[in-house]
Amino acid sequence: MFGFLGPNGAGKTTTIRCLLGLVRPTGGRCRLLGADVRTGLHRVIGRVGSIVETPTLYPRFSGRRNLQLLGRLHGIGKDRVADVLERVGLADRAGDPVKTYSFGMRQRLGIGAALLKDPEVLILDEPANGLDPAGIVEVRELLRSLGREGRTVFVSSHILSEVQQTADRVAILSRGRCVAAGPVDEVLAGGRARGLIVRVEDLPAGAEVLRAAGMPVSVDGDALRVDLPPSDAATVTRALAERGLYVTELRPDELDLETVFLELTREAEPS
Amino acid sequence: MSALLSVELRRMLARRLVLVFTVLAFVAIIVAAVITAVTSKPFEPAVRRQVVADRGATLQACLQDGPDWPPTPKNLTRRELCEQIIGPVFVPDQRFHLTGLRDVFLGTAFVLVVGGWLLGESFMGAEWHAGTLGTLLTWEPRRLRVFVAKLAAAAAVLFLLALVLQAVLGLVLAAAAALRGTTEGADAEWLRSVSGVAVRVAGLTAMAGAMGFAIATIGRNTAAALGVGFAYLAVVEGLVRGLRPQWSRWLIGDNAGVFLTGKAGCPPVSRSPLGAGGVIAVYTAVLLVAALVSFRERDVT
Repeated sequence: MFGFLGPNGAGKTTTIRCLLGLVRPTGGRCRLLGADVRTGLHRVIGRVGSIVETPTLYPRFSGRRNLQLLGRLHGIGKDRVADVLERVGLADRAGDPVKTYSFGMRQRLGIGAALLKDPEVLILDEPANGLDPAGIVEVRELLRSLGREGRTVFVSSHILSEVQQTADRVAILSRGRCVAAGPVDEVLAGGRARGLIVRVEDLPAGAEVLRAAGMPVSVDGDALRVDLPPSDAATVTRALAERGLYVTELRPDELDLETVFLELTREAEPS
Repeated sequence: MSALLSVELRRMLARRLVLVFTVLAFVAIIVAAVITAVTSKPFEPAVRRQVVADRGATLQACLQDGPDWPPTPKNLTRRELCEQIIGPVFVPDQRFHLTGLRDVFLGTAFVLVVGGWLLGESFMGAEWHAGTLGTLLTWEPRRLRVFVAKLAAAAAVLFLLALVLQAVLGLVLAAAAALRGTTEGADAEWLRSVSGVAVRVAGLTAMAGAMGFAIATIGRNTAAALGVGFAYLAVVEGLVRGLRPQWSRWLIGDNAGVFLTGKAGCPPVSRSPLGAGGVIAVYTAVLLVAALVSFRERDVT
Protein backbone atom coordinates (compact mmCIF):
# COMPACT_ATOMS: atom_id res chain seq x y z
CA MET A 1 0.00 0.00 0.00
CA PHE A 2 1.28 3.36 -1.03
CA GLY A 3 0.02 6.51 0.66
CA PHE A 4 0.00 9.68 -1.39
CA LEU A 5 -0.17 12.73 0.84
CA GLY A 6 -0.26 16.43 0.38
CA PRO A 7 -2.21 19.53 1.35
CA ASN A 8 -5.05 20.80 -0.78
CA GLY A 9 -3.75 22.08 -4.09
CA ALA A 10 -0.50 20.11 -3.83
CA GLY A 11 -1.27 18.21 -7.00
CA LYS A 12 -2.37 14.79 -5.76
CA THR A 13 -5.49 14.53 -7.86
CA THR A 14 -3.75 16.08 -10.84
CA THR A 15 -1.02 13.46 -10.56
CA ILE A 16 -3.64 10.72 -10.44
CA ARG A 17 -5.42 12.23 -13.44
CA CYS A 18 -2.11 12.25 -15.30
CA LEU A 19 -1.57 8.59 -14.42
CA LEU A 20 -5.01 7.70 -15.76
CA GLY A 21 -4.64 9.72 -18.97
CA LEU A 22 -7.31 12.25 -18.06
CA VAL A 23 -4.84 15.14 -17.94
CA ARG A 24 -1.77 15.58 -20.11
CA PRO A 25 1.31 16.57 -18.13
CA THR A 26 2.98 19.75 -19.36
CA GLY A 27 6.33 18.07 -18.85
CA GLY A 28 7.75 14.67 -18.07
CA ARG A 29 6.21 11.27 -18.59
CA CYS A 30 3.93 8.97 -16.65
CA ARG A 31 4.27 5.23 -16.68
CA LEU A 32 1.76 2.78 -15.30
CA LEU A 33 2.55 -0.92 -15.07
CA GLY A 34 5.44 -0.23 -17.40
CA ALA A 35 3.32 1.39 -20.09
CA ASP A 36 3.75 4.96 -21.18
CA VAL A 37 0.43 6.56 -20.28
CA ARG A 38 0.31 8.71 -23.41
CA THR A 39 0.76 5.86 -25.85
CA GLY A 40 0.11 2.59 -24.07
CA LEU A 41 -2.41 3.17 -21.31
CA HIS A 42 -5.09 1.18 -23.12
CA ARG A 43 -2.88 -1.91 -22.95
CA VAL A 44 -2.78 -1.90 -19.14
CA ILE A 45 -6.01 -0.15 -18.16
CA GLY A 46 -7.71 -3.53 -17.74
CA ARG A 47 -5.33 -4.21 -14.85
CA VAL A 48 -5.98 -0.88 -13.13
CA GLY A 49 -8.97 0.06 -11.01
CA SER A 50 -9.44 3.65 -9.95
CA ILE A 51 -11.51 6.31 -8.27
CA VAL A 52 -10.76 9.93 -9.00
CA GLU A 53 -12.25 12.29 -6.42
CA THR A 54 -15.98 11.57 -6.05
CA PRO A 55 -17.03 8.54 -8.10
CA THR A 56 -19.31 9.70 -10.91
CA LEU A 57 -21.81 7.16 -12.12
CA TYR A 58 -25.17 7.47 -13.85
CA PRO A 59 -27.57 8.70 -11.17
CA ARG A 60 -30.75 7.29 -12.72
CA PHE A 61 -29.30 3.83 -13.22
CA SER A 62 -29.14 1.39 -10.36
CA GLY A 63 -25.80 0.58 -8.78
CA ARG A 64 -25.96 -2.86 -10.36
CA ARG A 65 -26.70 -1.52 -13.82
CA ASN A 66 -23.89 1.02 -13.58
CA LEU A 67 -21.42 -1.71 -12.77
CA GLN A 68 -22.83 -4.02 -15.43
CA LEU A 69 -22.41 -1.32 -18.09
CA LEU A 70 -18.84 -0.68 -17.04
CA GLY A 71 -18.11 -4.39 -16.79
CA ARG A 72 -19.44 -5.01 -20.28
CA LEU A 73 -16.57 -2.87 -21.61
CA HIS A 74 -14.11 -5.50 -20.42
CA GLY A 75 -16.29 -8.57 -20.79
CA ILE A 76 -17.05 -8.79 -17.07
CA GLY A 77 -20.15 -10.80 -16.29
CA LYS A 78 -23.05 -10.34 -13.91
CA ASP A 79 -21.66 -12.81 -11.35
CA ARG A 80 -18.57 -10.71 -10.84
CA VAL A 81 -20.75 -7.60 -10.47
CA ALA A 82 -22.80 -9.37 -7.80
CA ASP A 83 -19.60 -10.44 -5.98
CA VAL A 84 -18.24 -6.92 -5.96
CA LEU A 85 -21.53 -5.45 -4.74
CA GLU A 86 -21.49 -7.97 -1.94
CA ARG A 87 -17.91 -7.12 -1.06
CA VAL A 88 -18.58 -3.38 -0.77
CA GLY A 89 -21.77 -3.99 1.19
CA LEU A 90 -24.24 -2.76 -1.39
CA ALA A 91 -25.94 -6.01 -2.35
CA ASP A 92 -29.17 -5.00 -0.62
CA ARG A 93 -29.39 -1.66 -2.42
CA ALA A 94 -27.94 -2.76 -5.75
CA GLY A 95 -31.26 -2.37 -7.55
CA ASP A 96 -31.91 1.18 -6.37
CA PRO A 97 -31.04 4.22 -8.47
CA VAL A 98 -27.68 5.69 -7.58
CA LYS A 99 -29.32 9.08 -7.01
CA THR A 100 -30.97 7.62 -3.90
CA TYR A 101 -27.62 6.56 -2.43
CA SER A 102 -25.94 8.46 0.36
CA PHE A 103 -22.53 9.96 -0.30
CA GLY A 104 -20.86 7.11 1.53
CA MET A 105 -22.77 4.53 -0.52
CA ARG A 106 -21.70 6.21 -3.72
CA GLN A 107 -18.15 6.12 -2.47
CA ARG A 108 -18.46 2.40 -1.82
CA LEU A 109 -20.02 1.88 -5.24
CA GLY A 110 -17.05 3.72 -6.71
CA ILE A 111 -14.71 1.38 -4.88
CA GLY A 112 -16.79 -1.49 -6.25
CA ALA A 113 -16.36 -0.14 -9.77
CA ALA A 114 -12.62 0.07 -9.17
CA LEU A 115 -12.56 -3.55 -7.97
CA LEU A 116 -14.64 -4.85 -10.84
CA LYS A 117 -11.67 -5.52 -13.10
CA ASP A 118 -9.98 -7.54 -10.36
CA PRO A 119 -7.10 -5.11 -10.80
CA GLU A 120 -3.43 -5.52 -10.02
CA VAL A 121 -3.20 -1.84 -9.23
CA LEU A 122 -5.83 0.20 -7.44
CA ILE A 123 -5.59 3.97 -7.59
CA LEU A 124 -7.93 5.50 -5.06
CA ASP A 125 -8.26 9.23 -4.60
CA GLU A 126 -9.55 9.96 -1.10
CA PRO A 127 -11.55 6.71 -0.83
CA ALA A 128 -12.70 7.46 2.71
CA ASN A 129 -14.16 10.81 1.74
CA GLY A 130 -17.66 11.26 3.06
CA LEU A 131 -17.73 7.99 4.96
CA ASP A 132 -18.89 7.79 8.55
CA PRO A 133 -16.46 6.39 11.15
CA ALA A 134 -17.76 2.85 10.64
CA GLY A 135 -17.41 3.26 6.90
CA ILE A 136 -13.84 4.52 7.30
CA VAL A 137 -12.97 1.44 9.33
CA GLU A 138 -14.60 -0.76 6.67
CA VAL A 139 -12.63 0.90 3.92
CA ARG A 140 -9.43 0.60 5.93
CA GLU A 141 -10.04 -3.11 6.36
CA LEU A 142 -10.94 -3.45 2.70
CA LEU A 143 -7.74 -1.71 1.64
CA ARG A 144 -5.68 -3.89 3.94
CA SER A 145 -7.28 -7.03 2.59
CA LEU A 146 -6.65 -5.84 -0.97
CA GLY A 147 -3.03 -5.26 -0.10
CA ARG A 148 -2.80 -8.72 1.45
CA GLU A 149 -4.12 -10.18 -1.79
CA GLY A 150 -0.97 -8.91 -3.45
CA ARG A 151 -2.44 -5.89 -5.17
CA THR A 152 -0.73 -2.55 -5.27
CA VAL A 153 -3.00 0.01 -3.64
CA PHE A 154 -2.14 3.63 -4.36
CA VAL A 155 -4.24 5.76 -2.06
CA SER A 156 -4.29 9.50 -1.68
CA SER A 157 -5.74 10.88 1.48
CA HIS A 158 -5.77 13.86 3.74
CA ILE A 159 -6.60 11.64 6.73
CA LEU A 160 -3.00 11.09 7.70
CA SER A 161 -3.72 8.71 10.55
CA GLU A 162 -5.49 6.46 8.07
CA VAL A 163 -2.48 6.37 5.81
CA GLN A 164 -0.13 5.84 8.74
CA GLN A 165 -2.17 2.83 9.82
CA THR A 166 -2.50 1.23 6.44
CA ALA A 167 0.32 2.29 4.14
CA ASP A 168 3.70 0.58 3.74
CA ARG A 169 5.21 3.44 1.81
CA VAL A 170 4.25 7.08 1.48
CA ALA A 171 5.06 10.08 -0.64
CA ILE A 172 4.39 13.62 0.44
CA LEU A 173 3.62 16.17 -2.21
CA SER A 174 3.76 19.90 -1.79
CA ARG A 175 3.13 22.49 -4.48
CA GLY A 176 3.55 19.88 -7.17
CA ARG A 177 6.84 18.55 -5.83
CA CYS A 178 7.54 15.34 -3.99
CA VAL A 179 9.16 16.43 -0.72
CA ALA A 180 9.50 13.00 0.87
CA ALA A 181 9.01 9.42 -0.20
CA GLY A 182 9.79 6.01 1.18
CA PRO A 183 8.69 3.51 3.81
CA VAL A 184 6.51 5.10 6.49
CA ASP A 185 9.12 4.57 9.25
CA GLU A 186 11.86 6.21 7.19
CA VAL A 187 9.73 9.19 6.35
CA LEU A 188 8.81 9.56 10.00
CA ALA A 189 12.45 9.33 11.02
CA GLY A 190 13.32 11.92 8.41
CA GLY A 191 11.15 14.50 10.11
CA ARG A 192 13.06 17.08 12.04
CA ALA A 193 10.61 17.29 14.87
CA ARG A 194 11.91 15.27 17.80
CA GLY A 195 12.19 15.71 21.53
CA LEU A 196 11.37 14.45 24.97
CA ILE A 197 8.30 14.94 27.10
CA VAL A 198 9.26 15.29 30.75
CA ARG A 199 6.87 15.46 33.66
CA VAL A 200 7.98 16.60 37.14
CA GLU A 201 5.97 17.82 40.08
CA ASP A 202 7.38 21.35 40.00
CA LEU A 203 7.32 22.37 36.36
CA PRO A 204 8.81 25.89 36.72
CA ALA A 205 11.68 24.56 38.81
CA GLY A 206 12.31 21.74 36.37
CA ALA A 207 12.35 24.14 33.45
CA GLU A 208 14.82 26.39 35.25
CA VAL A 209 17.14 23.48 36.03
CA LEU A 210 17.15 22.22 32.44
CA ARG A 211 17.64 25.70 31.02
CA ALA A 212 20.55 26.22 33.42
CA ALA A 213 22.03 22.97 32.07
CA GLY A 214 21.86 24.43 28.57
CA MET A 215 18.96 22.38 27.28
CA PRO A 216 16.25 23.85 25.00
CA VAL A 217 13.09 23.47 27.05
CA SER A 218 9.56 24.78 27.00
CA VAL A 219 6.45 24.24 29.05
CA ASP A 220 3.95 22.24 27.09
CA GLY A 221 0.71 22.00 29.05
CA ASP A 222 1.35 20.03 32.21
CA ALA A 223 4.74 18.77 31.03
CA LEU A 224 8.04 20.02 29.76
CA ARG A 225 9.17 19.53 26.21
CA VAL A 226 12.91 19.24 25.77
CA ASP A 227 14.16 19.54 22.20
CA LEU A 228 16.76 16.83 22.41
CA PRO A 229 16.86 13.42 20.78
CA PRO A 230 15.55 10.49 22.84
CA SER A 231 19.12 9.27 23.22
CA ASP A 232 19.77 12.25 25.53
CA ALA A 233 17.11 11.12 28.01
CA ALA A 234 19.73 10.15 30.62
CA THR A 235 21.26 13.63 30.55
CA VAL A 236 17.86 15.11 31.31
CA THR A 237 17.08 12.77 34.24
CA ARG A 238 20.54 13.27 35.68
CA ALA A 239 20.30 17.05 35.58
CA LEU A 240 16.96 17.02 37.30
CA ALA A 241 17.89 14.38 39.91
CA GLU A 242 21.03 16.29 40.87
CA ARG A 243 18.77 19.18 41.87
CA GLY A 244 16.33 16.95 43.77
CA LEU A 245 13.66 16.92 41.11
CA TYR A 246 12.44 13.45 40.24
CA VAL A 247 10.91 12.59 36.93
CA THR A 248 7.37 11.19 37.05
CA GLU A 249 7.18 10.62 33.33
CA LEU A 250 9.73 10.64 30.54
CA ARG A 251 8.94 9.61 26.99
CA PRO A 252 10.01 10.48 23.50
CA ASP A 253 7.81 13.01 21.79
CA GLU A 254 6.66 10.51 19.20
CA LEU A 255 6.39 11.75 15.70
CA ASP A 256 3.36 11.05 13.69
CA LEU A 257 2.90 11.42 10.01
CA GLU A 258 0.84 14.52 10.53
CA THR A 259 3.71 16.32 12.21
CA VAL A 260 6.17 15.29 9.54
CA PHE A 261 3.67 16.16 6.87
CA LEU A 262 3.10 19.62 8.27
CA GLU A 263 6.81 20.25 8.71
CA LEU A 264 7.73 19.10 5.26
CA THR A 265 4.96 20.91 3.48
CA ARG A 266 5.62 24.07 5.46
CA GLU A 267 9.26 23.88 4.46
CA ALA A 268 8.31 23.58 0.82
CA GLU A 269 6.20 26.72 0.91
CA PRO A 270 7.95 29.83 -0.41
CA SER A 271 8.84 32.20 2.38
CA MET B 1 -15.15 -1.40 -30.01
CA SER B 2 -18.34 -3.44 -30.35
CA ALA B 3 -18.66 -3.67 -26.55
CA LEU B 4 -18.22 0.09 -26.28
CA LEU B 5 -20.79 0.70 -29.00
CA SER B 6 -23.21 -1.71 -27.36
CA VAL B 7 -22.84 0.08 -24.02
CA GLU B 8 -23.32 3.49 -25.62
CA LEU B 9 -26.42 2.29 -27.47
CA ARG B 10 -27.86 1.08 -24.18
CA ARG B 11 -27.06 4.39 -22.54
CA MET B 12 -28.63 6.36 -25.37
CA LEU B 13 -31.79 4.24 -25.39
CA ALA B 14 -32.10 4.49 -21.61
CA ARG B 15 -31.86 8.28 -21.57
CA ARG B 16 -34.90 9.87 -20.01
CA LEU B 17 -35.05 12.60 -22.65
CA VAL B 18 -35.15 9.98 -25.42
CA LEU B 19 -37.95 8.12 -23.65
CA VAL B 20 -39.93 11.32 -23.00
CA PHE B 21 -39.49 12.46 -26.61
CA THR B 22 -40.60 9.06 -27.91
CA VAL B 23 -43.65 8.87 -25.66
CA LEU B 24 -44.69 12.44 -26.57
CA ALA B 25 -44.23 11.64 -30.25
CA PHE B 26 -46.42 8.54 -29.96
CA VAL B 27 -49.08 10.53 -28.12
CA ALA B 28 -48.94 13.21 -30.83
CA ILE B 29 -49.24 10.56 -33.54
CA ILE B 30 -52.30 9.02 -31.91
CA VAL B 31 -53.92 12.43 -31.46
CA ALA B 32 -53.15 13.31 -35.09
CA ALA B 33 -54.67 10.04 -36.28
CA VAL B 34 -57.83 10.58 -34.24
CA ILE B 35 -58.22 14.16 -35.46
CA THR B 36 -57.64 13.04 -39.05
CA ALA B 37 -60.19 10.27 -38.76
CA VAL B 38 -62.77 12.57 -37.16
CA THR B 39 -62.37 15.46 -39.64
CA SER B 40 -62.20 13.19 -42.68
CA LYS B 41 -65.74 12.99 -44.10
CA PRO B 42 -66.29 9.81 -46.08
CA PHE B 43 -67.61 10.33 -49.61
CA GLU B 44 -71.44 9.89 -49.68
CA PRO B 45 -73.10 9.12 -53.08
CA ALA B 46 -76.29 10.77 -51.81
CA VAL B 47 -74.38 14.02 -51.31
CA ARG B 48 -73.19 13.88 -54.92
CA ARG B 49 -76.72 13.13 -56.14
CA GLN B 50 -78.02 16.12 -54.22
CA VAL B 51 -75.29 18.38 -55.61
CA VAL B 52 -76.04 17.21 -59.18
CA ALA B 53 -79.77 17.73 -58.65
CA ASP B 54 -79.20 21.23 -57.22
CA ARG B 55 -76.99 22.12 -60.17
CA GLY B 56 -79.62 20.82 -62.61
CA ALA B 57 -82.28 23.00 -60.97
CA THR B 58 -80.02 26.06 -61.13
CA LEU B 59 -79.31 25.32 -64.81
CA GLN B 60 -83.00 25.05 -65.57
CA ALA B 61 -83.66 28.34 -63.82
CA CYS B 62 -80.91 29.99 -65.87
CA LEU B 63 -82.35 28.57 -69.10
CA GLN B 64 -85.87 29.71 -68.16
CA ASP B 65 -84.79 33.26 -67.34
CA GLY B 66 -85.26 34.05 -71.03
CA PRO B 67 -82.93 34.79 -73.87
CA ASP B 68 -82.13 38.37 -72.86
CA TRP B 69 -80.83 38.18 -69.31
CA PRO B 70 -78.08 37.70 -68.95
CA PRO B 71 -77.39 38.66 -72.54
CA THR B 72 -76.14 35.70 -74.56
CA PRO B 73 -73.02 36.37 -76.65
CA LYS B 74 -73.37 35.51 -80.30
CA ASN B 75 -70.77 32.77 -80.23
CA LEU B 76 -72.50 30.83 -77.40
CA THR B 77 -75.79 29.05 -77.04
CA ARG B 78 -77.92 29.84 -74.02
CA ARG B 79 -77.07 26.48 -72.48
CA GLU B 80 -73.33 27.05 -72.99
CA LEU B 81 -73.62 30.40 -71.27
CA CYS B 82 -75.53 28.92 -68.32
CA GLU B 83 -73.01 26.08 -68.05
CA GLN B 84 -70.20 28.63 -67.91
CA ILE B 85 -71.97 30.69 -65.27
CA ILE B 86 -72.87 27.77 -63.02
CA GLY B 87 -69.61 25.87 -63.55
CA PRO B 88 -68.98 22.14 -63.38
CA VAL B 89 -70.36 19.80 -60.76
CA PHE B 90 -68.44 20.46 -57.58
CA VAL B 91 -68.75 18.01 -54.74
CA PRO B 92 -66.70 19.15 -51.73
CA ASP B 93 -64.23 16.36 -50.86
CA GLN B 94 -63.45 16.36 -47.15
CA ARG B 95 -61.82 12.97 -47.17
CA PHE B 96 -58.27 12.48 -45.94
CA HIS B 97 -56.14 11.54 -48.93
CA LEU B 98 -53.28 9.22 -48.10
CA THR B 99 -51.35 10.81 -50.96
CA GLY B 100 -50.99 13.85 -48.67
CA LEU B 101 -48.70 11.84 -46.39
CA ARG B 102 -45.64 13.28 -48.10
CA ASP B 103 -46.66 16.78 -47.02
CA VAL B 104 -47.38 15.48 -43.52
CA PHE B 105 -43.83 14.11 -43.30
CA LEU B 106 -42.40 17.40 -44.55
CA GLY B 107 -44.51 19.24 -42.00
CA THR B 108 -43.37 17.11 -39.08
CA ALA B 109 -39.71 17.14 -40.18
CA PHE B 110 -38.98 20.32 -38.20
CA VAL B 111 -40.06 18.68 -34.93
CA LEU B 112 -37.94 15.61 -35.60
CA VAL B 113 -34.87 17.57 -36.67
CA VAL B 114 -35.02 19.93 -33.68
CA GLY B 115 -35.69 16.93 -31.43
CA GLY B 116 -32.66 15.19 -32.93
CA TRP B 117 -30.55 18.24 -32.19
CA LEU B 118 -31.72 18.31 -28.56
CA LEU B 119 -31.22 14.60 -27.99
CA GLY B 120 -27.78 14.60 -29.62
CA GLU B 121 -26.49 17.52 -27.61
CA SER B 122 -27.97 16.32 -24.33
CA PHE B 123 -26.41 12.88 -24.84
CA MET B 124 -22.95 14.42 -24.64
CA GLY B 125 -23.80 17.48 -22.56
CA ALA B 126 -25.24 15.35 -19.76
CA GLU B 127 -22.06 13.27 -19.64
CA TRP B 128 -19.98 16.38 -19.13
CA HIS B 129 -22.42 17.76 -16.59
CA ALA B 130 -22.48 14.55 -14.52
CA GLY B 131 -18.74 13.96 -14.87
CA THR B 132 -19.31 10.41 -16.06
CA LEU B 133 -16.93 10.80 -19.00
CA GLY B 134 -14.01 10.74 -16.59
CA THR B 135 -15.20 7.41 -15.21
CA LEU B 136 -15.67 6.00 -18.71
CA LEU B 137 -12.19 7.12 -19.76
CA THR B 138 -10.67 5.20 -16.86
CA TRP B 139 -12.15 2.11 -18.51
CA GLU B 140 -11.47 3.00 -22.14
CA PRO B 141 -8.76 5.63 -22.41
CA ARG B 142 -8.71 5.73 -26.23
CA ARG B 143 -10.67 8.89 -26.74
CA LEU B 144 -11.12 8.47 -30.48
CA ARG B 145 -12.96 5.20 -29.83
CA VAL B 146 -15.08 6.72 -27.11
CA PHE B 147 -16.00 9.66 -29.33
CA VAL B 148 -16.82 7.51 -32.34
CA ALA B 149 -18.85 5.02 -30.29
CA LYS B 150 -20.89 7.75 -28.65
CA LEU B 151 -21.46 9.54 -31.95
CA ALA B 152 -22.40 6.34 -33.75
CA ALA B 153 -24.82 5.38 -30.98
CA ALA B 154 -26.48 8.81 -30.98
CA ALA B 155 -26.73 9.04 -34.77
CA ALA B 156 -27.99 5.48 -35.19
CA VAL B 157 -30.65 5.83 -32.49
CA LEU B 158 -31.81 9.18 -33.88
CA PHE B 159 -31.94 7.90 -37.46
CA LEU B 160 -33.92 4.81 -36.48
CA LEU B 161 -36.15 6.72 -34.09
CA ALA B 162 -37.09 9.21 -36.82
CA LEU B 163 -37.77 6.36 -39.24
CA VAL B 164 -39.86 4.40 -36.76
CA LEU B 165 -41.91 7.45 -35.73
CA GLN B 166 -42.61 8.31 -39.36
CA ALA B 167 -43.48 4.70 -40.12
CA VAL B 168 -45.93 4.61 -37.23
CA LEU B 169 -47.38 7.96 -38.29
CA GLY B 170 -47.72 6.65 -41.85
CA LEU B 171 -49.40 3.45 -40.68
CA VAL B 172 -51.97 5.12 -38.44
CA LEU B 173 -52.76 7.71 -41.13
CA ALA B 174 -53.03 4.91 -43.69
CA ALA B 175 -55.53 3.22 -41.40
CA ALA B 176 -57.42 6.49 -41.04
CA ALA B 177 -57.41 6.92 -44.82
CA ALA B 178 -58.60 3.37 -45.39
CA LEU B 179 -61.44 3.69 -42.90
CA ARG B 180 -62.59 7.29 -43.29
CA GLY B 181 -60.67 8.74 -46.23
CA THR B 182 -59.21 7.50 -49.46
CA THR B 183 -56.06 5.75 -50.59
CA GLU B 184 -56.57 6.73 -54.23
CA GLY B 185 -53.28 7.46 -55.95
CA ALA B 186 -51.20 5.72 -53.26
CA ASP B 187 -49.35 3.57 -55.74
CA ALA B 188 -45.80 2.23 -55.88
CA GLU B 189 -44.43 5.51 -57.25
CA TRP B 190 -46.08 7.41 -54.41
CA LEU B 191 -44.68 4.94 -51.87
CA ARG B 192 -41.19 5.44 -53.30
CA SER B 193 -41.55 9.20 -53.05
CA VAL B 194 -42.88 9.10 -49.46
CA SER B 195 -40.18 6.65 -48.40
CA GLY B 196 -37.56 8.94 -49.87
CA VAL B 197 -38.87 11.87 -47.81
CA ALA B 198 -38.94 9.72 -44.67
CA VAL B 199 -35.35 8.58 -45.16
CA ARG B 200 -34.18 12.13 -45.85
CA VAL B 201 -35.97 13.40 -42.73
CA ALA B 202 -34.33 10.62 -40.71
CA GLY B 203 -30.94 11.45 -42.21
CA LEU B 204 -31.33 15.13 -41.41
CA THR B 205 -32.44 14.25 -37.86
CA ALA B 206 -29.28 12.18 -37.40
CA MET B 207 -27.11 15.00 -38.82
CA ALA B 208 -28.80 17.54 -36.54
CA GLY B 209 -28.12 15.21 -33.62
CA ALA B 210 -24.48 14.92 -34.68
CA MET B 211 -24.17 18.72 -34.85
CA GLY B 212 -25.68 19.08 -31.37
CA PHE B 213 -23.39 16.34 -30.12
CA ALA B 214 -20.36 18.13 -31.57
CA ILE B 215 -21.24 21.52 -30.09
CA ALA B 216 -21.96 19.96 -26.68
CA THR B 217 -18.55 18.25 -26.88
CA ILE B 218 -16.79 21.52 -27.63
CA GLY B 219 -18.81 23.54 -25.08
CA ARG B 220 -18.92 20.65 -22.58
CA ASN B 221 -22.39 21.75 -21.76
CA THR B 222 -25.95 21.14 -22.98
CA ALA B 223 -27.05 24.71 -22.32
CA ALA B 224 -24.18 26.10 -24.40
CA ALA B 225 -25.14 23.88 -27.31
CA LEU B 226 -28.78 24.89 -26.97
CA GLY B 227 -27.81 28.55 -26.99
CA VAL B 228 -25.59 28.18 -30.03
CA GLY B 229 -28.28 26.27 -31.93
CA PHE B 230 -31.09 28.69 -31.30
CA ALA B 231 -28.89 31.76 -31.77
CA TYR B 232 -27.88 30.39 -35.16
CA LEU B 233 -31.42 29.56 -36.29
CA ALA B 234 -33.11 32.65 -34.88
CA VAL B 235 -30.43 35.30 -35.38
CA VAL B 236 -27.75 34.29 -37.86
CA GLU B 237 -30.03 32.79 -40.49
CA GLY B 238 -32.51 35.68 -40.15
CA LEU B 239 -29.80 38.30 -40.47
CA VAL B 240 -28.19 36.63 -43.46
CA ARG B 241 -31.50 36.27 -45.27
CA GLY B 242 -32.31 39.91 -44.60
CA LEU B 243 -28.94 41.51 -45.22
CA ARG B 244 -27.19 39.15 -47.65
CA PRO B 245 -29.90 37.13 -49.39
CA GLN B 246 -27.41 35.82 -51.94
CA TRP B 247 -25.55 34.06 -49.11
CA SER B 248 -28.62 32.14 -48.04
CA ARG B 249 -27.62 29.32 -50.38
CA TRP B 250 -25.09 28.43 -47.68
CA LEU B 251 -27.55 28.47 -44.80
CA ILE B 252 -28.46 25.19 -43.12
CA GLY B 253 -32.18 26.01 -43.06
CA ASP B 254 -32.44 26.75 -46.79
CA ASN B 255 -30.38 23.73 -47.77
CA ALA B 256 -32.43 21.55 -45.41
CA GLY B 257 -35.59 22.67 -47.22
CA VAL B 258 -34.18 21.71 -50.61
CA PHE B 259 -32.82 18.42 -49.27
CA LEU B 260 -36.11 17.38 -47.66
CA THR B 261 -38.44 18.24 -50.53
CA GLY B 262 -36.20 16.42 -52.98
CA LYS B 263 -36.76 19.17 -55.55
CA ALA B 264 -34.05 21.43 -56.91
CA GLY B 265 -34.11 24.77 -55.14
CA CYS B 266 -34.91 28.14 -56.65
CA PRO B 267 -32.37 30.99 -56.64
CA PRO B 268 -30.51 31.84 -54.54
CA VAL B 269 -30.49 28.22 -53.26
CA SER B 270 -30.21 26.85 -56.75
CA ARG B 271 -28.73 23.45 -56.10
CA SER B 272 -29.88 19.86 -56.26
CA PRO B 273 -31.27 18.01 -53.22
CA LEU B 274 -28.11 15.92 -53.18
CA GLY B 275 -25.96 19.04 -53.26
CA ALA B 276 -28.01 20.58 -50.44
CA GLY B 277 -27.59 17.41 -48.39
CA GLY B 278 -23.88 17.51 -49.15
CA VAL B 279 -23.59 21.08 -47.84
CA ILE B 280 -25.22 20.07 -44.55
CA ALA B 281 -23.05 16.95 -44.36
CA VAL B 282 -19.91 19.05 -44.80
CA TYR B 283 -20.99 21.41 -42.01
CA THR B 284 -21.67 18.39 -39.79
CA ALA B 285 -18.28 16.87 -40.61
CA VAL B 286 -16.44 20.13 -39.87
CA LEU B 287 -18.15 20.44 -36.50
CA LEU B 288 -17.40 16.81 -35.67
CA VAL B 289 -13.72 17.16 -36.54
CA ALA B 290 -13.48 20.25 -34.33
CA ALA B 291 -15.25 18.37 -31.55
CA LEU B 292 -12.96 15.36 -31.89
CA VAL B 293 -9.84 17.53 -31.72
CA SER B 294 -11.23 19.24 -28.63
CA PHE B 295 -12.16 15.92 -27.04
CA ARG B 296 -8.77 14.36 -27.70
CA GLU B 297 -6.59 17.28 -26.69
CA ARG B 298 -8.31 18.84 -23.73
CA ASP B 299 -7.97 17.63 -20.17
CA VAL B 300 -10.86 15.91 -18.47
CA THR B 301 -11.12 17.42 -15.01
